[in-house]
Amino acid sequence: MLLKLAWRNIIGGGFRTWLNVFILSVVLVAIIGFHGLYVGWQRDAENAMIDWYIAGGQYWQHNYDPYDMFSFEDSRAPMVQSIPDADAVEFLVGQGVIYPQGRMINIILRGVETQQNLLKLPTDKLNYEAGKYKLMLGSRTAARMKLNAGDKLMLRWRESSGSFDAAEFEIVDVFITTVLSIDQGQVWLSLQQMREMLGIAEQVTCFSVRQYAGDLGQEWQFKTQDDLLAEFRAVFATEIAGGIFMYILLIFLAMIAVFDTQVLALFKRRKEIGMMLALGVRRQQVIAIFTLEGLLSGLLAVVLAAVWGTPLLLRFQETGMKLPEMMDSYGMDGLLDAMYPQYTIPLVLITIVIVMLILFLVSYLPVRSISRLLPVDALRGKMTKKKRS
Amino acid sequence: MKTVILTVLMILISAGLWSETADEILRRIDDNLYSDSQIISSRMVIEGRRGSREIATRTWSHGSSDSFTEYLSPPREAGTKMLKLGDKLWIYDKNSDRTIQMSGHLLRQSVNGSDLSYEDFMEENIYQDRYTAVIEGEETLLDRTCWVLKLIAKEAGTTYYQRKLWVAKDIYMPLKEELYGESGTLLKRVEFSDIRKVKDRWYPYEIFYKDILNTKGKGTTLKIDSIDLDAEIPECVFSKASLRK
Repeated sequence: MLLKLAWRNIIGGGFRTWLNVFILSVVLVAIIGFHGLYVGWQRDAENAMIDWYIAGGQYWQHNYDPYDMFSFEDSRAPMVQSIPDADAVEFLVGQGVIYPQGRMINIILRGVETQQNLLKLPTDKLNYEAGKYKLMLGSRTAARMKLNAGDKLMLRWRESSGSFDAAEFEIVDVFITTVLSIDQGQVWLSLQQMREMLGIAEQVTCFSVRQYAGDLGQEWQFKTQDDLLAEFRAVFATEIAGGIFMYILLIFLAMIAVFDTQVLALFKRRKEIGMMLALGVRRQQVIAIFTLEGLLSGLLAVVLAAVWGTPLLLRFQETGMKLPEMMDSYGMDGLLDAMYPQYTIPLVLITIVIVMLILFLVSYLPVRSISRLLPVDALRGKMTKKKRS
Repeated sequence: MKTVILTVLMILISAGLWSETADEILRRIDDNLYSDSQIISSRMVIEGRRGSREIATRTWSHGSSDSFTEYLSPPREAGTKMLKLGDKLWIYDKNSDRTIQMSGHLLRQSVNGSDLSYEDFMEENIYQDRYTAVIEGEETLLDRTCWVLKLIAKEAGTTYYQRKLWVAKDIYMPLKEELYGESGTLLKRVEFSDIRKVKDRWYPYEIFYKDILNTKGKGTTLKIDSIDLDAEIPECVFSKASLRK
C-alpha cells in the first residue's frame, strides 16, 4: 500500500518529478562513463605493459634496480641456460650519452634479444649485422630529440673495463607504444651488439619469461606481473582519487536537487501529512512514503539512464575519447592518442547502489521531522513540532 | 739474397729505432708535463652557445694520483672544492655544505658544462705508464716540426684507448692531441699553446679542449696564470678534512 501510494505521488508530481529523474540519470551515466574511462585506461595500460615488456613476469639479477643507474654495472650475470629461448627475452641494461643535433644527453641503453616472439617490441628490426650500428627508440623520445627513423645518431658509451668509445648509429625504427617505461630516456640495441660494445659475453641484467620458471637461485629474483605493475597502479590510484572528487561533486549536485524537492514537498504537503496522521497512519509509515518516493525517483532514473545512456556509452566505448597531443607527455602509461572506456557489471551495479544509498539518505533526512509533527497543526497547515521530552 | 737479408735487417733495425725513439719521446714529454708536485692557478674559459663563462681555480697536485682543487670565482662557484685521491673523487659544495663522492655515471658528466668530464680529471697523466707509442711520421704544426705519435693503451680500462700526439721536436712538447675510442672514433681534441719555459722544462700555459661529439659546444680553454713546479705541499692538503676548511 505504501509503495503504491508513493508511486502515485511521484507520478502525480509531473514535470518536477521527471526533471529530478532526468538529472539523476545524467549523473548516473556521467559517473559510469567517466569511471569507465579510468577502468579502460588502466586495462589498456596494463595489457600494453604485459604485451610489450613484462610478459608472464621477469627475473632480475638481484642487484638490479631500474631507478639506480649505479646498480647497472653490478647487476649482470650469465643467462640461465635451463630456460628455452622461445620462453624468455633477455635484456642488458647500461648507460651512454647520445648527441642529437650536437646536444649531449645521458641515456639508458637497453640491449634486447632480437629473435623473439614473446613481446610486441619490434626487435627484429635490430637484427645484428657485423660492423653496422643500429638502434631503435620510442616515439616520445624520438619526438623530444627531433629524431626520425633513418637518422644517424652519435652514441658514446663506456666499456665494462672503463674505456670510452663512440660510434654513429642508424635509427632503424621509431616504435609507437603507450608504455612509457620502455620509451622515455632510453634507446634499444641488439643484445649481441651491446655485449660487443661493453666487452662482456653471455651476460644479461634481466629477462622476461612466458611463465614462472621456478626458483633460479639467489642470483635471480622473480618479479610477478603484479610486482611489476604495482608502481603503475599506485600512481593510477592517485589519478582515480582525483576522479572520485568529480563523482562526489556530481552526486552532490543531484542530491541537492532531491533534498530540495523533499524539503519543499514536506512544506507543501503538510495538510496531507496531517490528514494521514489523523486517519491513523503511523508516523513511521508517513516517513516511509516520502523516503520511498525518493528511492522510486532513483529507480526511474536508473531505467531512464539505461534507455538513453546505454547506446551513448556503447558508442563512446567504440570511438573512445581523443586526447590532445599534450597528453602524450603527461607521464603516465597507457595514454597515447585516445582513451577507450570499459564498463563492467560490478562498475554499473556499484554505481547504482552508491547512488541509491545516498538517495535514501537525502530522501530520509528531511522527512525525519514528521515524527515530531502535531497532526492538528499539520491539518491547519502549521509545522509545529512536538517538544522533545 | 744478401741484399734481401740486408734490407730486412735494415727495416727491423729502423723499426726498433723508431720504437725506442717513440718511447724516449714519451719519456721526454712526461719529464716536461709531470712533476712530483705542483701548484697551479688557472682559469677555465667555457665557450657555450650563450656566450662564455670563466671559472678560476687553484690546484695542488702530488704525483699523478692526488690533487686538490679550490674554485676561486665566480662567486657562485667560489668555495667549491674537489679532491682526487687515486681513483676516488669527492666534491664539496659550499652552498649545501655537503661532500659528494663522484662515482658511476656521475663521472661521465661534464665539469661545469665544459668539454672535460670528471673522468678526464681522474685520468693518470703519465703517458709512459699507460701507452705504447709508435711514430707515424712527421708534420709541421704552428711552424714547428713535429713527430706524429700513435699511442695505444697498454691495458684495458684506460679511459681513451688510442691517442694521436703531435710533438714539437725541439722541445718535446705536444702541440696537439686527439683522443680516440677503441673503434677508432675521434672523441676529443686537445691543443697546447703559449708554451713557456718553467725552470728546466717546457709547459703549456693554454690548453684547449674540444669534445668532438658535442658539436654545439665551442670548446673549453684552460689558461694557466701561474705554476709552481715541485712545490712543497703538506700532506694534509690531500685529505677529506681539507674539503671543509
